[in-house]
Amino acid sequence: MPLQHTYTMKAGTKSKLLLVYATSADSTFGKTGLAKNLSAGSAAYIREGDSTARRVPIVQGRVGEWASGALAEVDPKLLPGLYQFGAPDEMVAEGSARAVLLIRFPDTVIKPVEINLVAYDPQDAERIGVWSLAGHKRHEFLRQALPRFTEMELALGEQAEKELAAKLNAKKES
Amino acid sequence: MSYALKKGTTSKILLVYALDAADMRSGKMGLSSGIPDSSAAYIREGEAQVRRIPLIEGKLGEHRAGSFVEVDSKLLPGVYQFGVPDEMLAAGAETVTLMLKFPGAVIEPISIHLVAYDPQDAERLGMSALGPEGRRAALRGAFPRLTAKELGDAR
Repeated sequence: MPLQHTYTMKAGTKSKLLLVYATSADSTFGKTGLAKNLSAGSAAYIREGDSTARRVPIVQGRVGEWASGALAEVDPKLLPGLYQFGAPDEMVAEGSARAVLLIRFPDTVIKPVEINLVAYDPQDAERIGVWSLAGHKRHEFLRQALPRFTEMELALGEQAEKELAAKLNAKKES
Repeated sequence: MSYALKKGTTSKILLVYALDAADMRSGKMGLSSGIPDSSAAYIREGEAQVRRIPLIEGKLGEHRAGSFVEVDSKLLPGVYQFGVPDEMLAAGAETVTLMLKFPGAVIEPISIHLVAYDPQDAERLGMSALGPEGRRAALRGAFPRLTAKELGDAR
């Protein structure tokens, strides 16, 4: 039973590791041993709006470590059929809303990896990358929305500056 | 099967579907934690080590790490409840893949996206910037001197 691979990540994410599931073409069980013969496989992606597909050279990988195009078998006994693939940074770069990656091996089924490249950041607990919620953007909004408060704030600032200048002058003179 | 869960979610129960490997159409009934050669394991993105989850008996509607329970073989044949270990969903990884294996059954791997926001929070999606502290900080940051005056007057 091939697994759907759908990701949502912020465009421009770096060093992303993908976990993909491979089954035998003639059965529903996980396919092991693909990393032993990498030359038999191929990988390529297309980004929405691009005119050409890009080939990704598959290289030997290590579980837990990122390298572009690196494929590593996770654990053929406990997680048979599961592989780690290092997504090239340029595949998930800004400039496109979606990328589709195909990893192919003979007699093997690996569902396409579909990546939604979004402007927000699912990994940001403060404001999921929503720009208008950043501190300085909120300050800007509040100051525009409450002009008299802003004038009072500025007046208090000017007063504080005058007091400081007077203090410094007094220090110099003494 | 794919989920989006907030990192650090605890006591999570998953509902999984087991197909009968013999016909690949009907739900596989009668699976339990005591079946020989059954296993559960997961890998978290970026980690080098696969973790095995000991399967144990459980009760429907109750969470215990590694518990595996058949839901209702007549009404929902092939549907099981699985208790996810809290450490599988802890902060520190963005995705995790879980596999449950039973002889004669096919269970699709479960892919979980661990996100920083809270899809179950109707008020502010778990964003701290929209909480009382974050909002106060925005107001005070916009008018620091008025805030100091306000707080001084209030004392």
